[in-house]
Amino acid sequence: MNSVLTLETVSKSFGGVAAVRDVSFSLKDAELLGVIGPNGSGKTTLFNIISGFVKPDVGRVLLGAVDVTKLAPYKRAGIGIGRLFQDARVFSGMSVLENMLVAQQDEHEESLFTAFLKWSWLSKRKVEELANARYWLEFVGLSMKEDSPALSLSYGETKLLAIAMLLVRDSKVLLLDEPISGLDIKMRESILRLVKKLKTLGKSVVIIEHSLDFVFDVSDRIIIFKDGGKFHEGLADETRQATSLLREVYLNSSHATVS
Amino acid sequence: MGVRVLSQLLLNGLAAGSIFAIVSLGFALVYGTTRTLHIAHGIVYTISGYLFLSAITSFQFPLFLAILTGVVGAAGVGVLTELVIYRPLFKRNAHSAITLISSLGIYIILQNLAAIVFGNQTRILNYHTANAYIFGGVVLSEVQLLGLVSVIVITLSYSVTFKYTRFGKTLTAISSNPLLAEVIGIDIKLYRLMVFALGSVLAGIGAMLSVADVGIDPNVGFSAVLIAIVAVIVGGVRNFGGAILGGLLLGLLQSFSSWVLSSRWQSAIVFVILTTFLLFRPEGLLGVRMRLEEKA
Amino acid sequence: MNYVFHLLTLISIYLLLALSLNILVGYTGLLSMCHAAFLGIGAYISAILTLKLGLNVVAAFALATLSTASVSLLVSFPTVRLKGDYFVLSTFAFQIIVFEILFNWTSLTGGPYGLRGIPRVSIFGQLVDTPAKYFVFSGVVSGLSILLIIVLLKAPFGRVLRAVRDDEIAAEAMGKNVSLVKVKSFAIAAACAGLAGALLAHYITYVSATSFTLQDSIFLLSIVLVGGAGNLRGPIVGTVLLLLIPELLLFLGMPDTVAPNVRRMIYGLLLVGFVFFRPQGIAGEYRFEKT
Repeated sequence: MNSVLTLETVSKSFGGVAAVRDVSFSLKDAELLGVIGPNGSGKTTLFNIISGFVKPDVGRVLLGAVDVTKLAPYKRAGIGIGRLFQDARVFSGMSVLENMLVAQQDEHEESLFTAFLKWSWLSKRKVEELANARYWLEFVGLSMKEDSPALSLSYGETKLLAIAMLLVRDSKVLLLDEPISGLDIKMRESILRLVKKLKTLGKSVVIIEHSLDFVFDVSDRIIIFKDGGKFHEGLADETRQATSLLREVYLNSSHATVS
Repeated sequence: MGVRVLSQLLLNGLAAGSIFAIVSLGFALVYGTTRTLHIAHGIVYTISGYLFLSAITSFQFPLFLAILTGVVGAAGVGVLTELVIYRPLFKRNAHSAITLISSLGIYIILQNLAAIVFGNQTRILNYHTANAYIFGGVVLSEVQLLGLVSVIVITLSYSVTFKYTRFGKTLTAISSNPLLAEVIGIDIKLYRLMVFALGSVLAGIGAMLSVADVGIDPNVGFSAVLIAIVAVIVGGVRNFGGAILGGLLLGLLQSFSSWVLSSRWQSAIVFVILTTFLLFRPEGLLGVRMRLEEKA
Repeated sequence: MNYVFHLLTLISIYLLLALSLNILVGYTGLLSMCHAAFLGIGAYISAILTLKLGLNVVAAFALATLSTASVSLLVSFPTVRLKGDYFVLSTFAFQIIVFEILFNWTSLTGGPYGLRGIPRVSIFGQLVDTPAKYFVFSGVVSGLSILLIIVLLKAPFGRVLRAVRDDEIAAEAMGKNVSLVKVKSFAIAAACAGLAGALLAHYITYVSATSFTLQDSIFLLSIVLVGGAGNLRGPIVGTVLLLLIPELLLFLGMPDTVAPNVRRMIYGLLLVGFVFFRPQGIAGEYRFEKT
């Protein structure tokens, strides 16, 4: 099976309220899957389940052929799942470059043993890491800011940094939670171009977004979420035409929020 | 262990526990509503105790006036810490470590001030506490009786207030979801003030009972607030009433353990219990096991 | 002159304490209220090993350091997954429990009377028995440890600490085992405190539980917060400043009865003042900002 990420009948409730109900889908290699739906339909919970911050009540999550359902978030990150949070979390106490370095470091590099005994290896690694960091900062357009404190970045720049951190980690599967929300037109276009480039890099991506134009532009396939469940799944082009479907989802749901 | 001894220990435990319960309820109100670890609750306790003591011994106030002094003093200190320290930190969304340390710092400043003003030695109330009551062979001092009556009255008032009044229901709403409460138009600032005032009054009542019972020294507040913290965790953080239960249980623990073990191990036991609850039942005895909402 | 060396010795020991607590507070974002407990554990272990078991001092120092680190695992393993406030409360509880044990377990620790006559250190046959000599000794031991701390913080390990401090969830999402990082950080800080304890014990040649109370933990925290957390300068400034204040008070001739209270009030004022108005302290870097 060439599915890079698979969800099998995943369900999750919080205090009696079903946040995600019986969701199954698979993501193919180098595919871009758009997830749309009204607020509160369970999309972020879905991401939490895939990245490991929430464990489902029922169902499985598979990365390739590996069952990761019970795996801790940091371990999933280690085998290729990358997550962009809705509020673009970065490390505010460090500089942009340091953020990029810490994103690349692995457990071995961070061990105490290495800190004390493998100095020459560490300096070689650092040279590589700096090169990687600068490459991806350039890719997202943040080269100018490499020494700035992450705290001083604008909201859009923080998102770019967060994306760069995912890229430098070389994650296979990227989960992007509302990558363009709160950004101005110019930034949106930067991110749009970036997201399109991701496919050429061979990444498999799941995007949650409210901007339907954006989602239909970048996605190969679309899943429409409603009330915690999969309302519809189909190719982007077809779904785009199905305006009556979209109206039904956004206007008739119990959380009517038209984006 | 004879029935009489058992009953005596039980009564002593409940009497001590009643003071713990009252103070802990005050702490729980503040913690539940504002999520602040209000260490300064301890100094509210201490200052109230000293004001009460001075009112009676130095100023010869009649009892009710002395109690009023203690209560007003307590509320004053509590409200002041909210206005001067916690509110500004709340407004700028400060890290909880900052609030905790500020509270601790205020406690330290005021405690040492109290020590300078009132002296480091223990002072007692030479009151008329010769009165004691005997029920079937079990002795109860006047202060102990007063404590038990107070905790019953306070518990009943608490239950009624929180189930039936708007004030109580609003506080419950604020404590379960502070953000939502603000969004739906509850005046958080006003309620914070009220909660600090009320919580501090409770601390004051507990302090005055304790002064009448065993006297006071500058350090009593710290033990009081530590017990309150343990009582709240043991009883249950979500439910204010849990603090009352926690306080009573700790009183009983103190009473019974001093029978079995030397009293020098009491503090250690209390904190082992705290640790146990933090690790294995952080929601407390009365709390509902809440599934951790997604951390992200 | 002896007095100056005495102060310098204390500074060297407290510097190690402050910089190690800084690893927790300023680099990992863990507010620990039990650093004095680790100091006490190290002091007592070294004292007991040399006094009651006749172990040589170097071995005692090493064992004290390792044991304190091991004890820290008992605390950190179960508590690092607790949320912020509850973690702080756990360290509170641990501090109090340790004090009670040190103060009450008379057969092991001498109870309230503590342990006297702790053997002095001897290096290459020379007895380190004057403040000047001890300053050289503790200066070297402390200095080497501090050097190791600096190396550690500049390495990738230091960066992952700061990542955990700034945003635990983002750190998890970047593949960091946050709980393990916290446990390691705690162990290193505890090891340093244990070593500092051994240094203290063999200098004063007397240990008493009353030196290792919650108040002492708060004092150490004040050093780090007033001086400033998150870099190296802050704790250095804090140590020198807060150790010199009592000397200053002595100078000003404060009456003995109120001197301790006044001293503590000043510490309290400094603590609140800085944390409220300038959380990065005098010379620190970390501002306790929430993401």
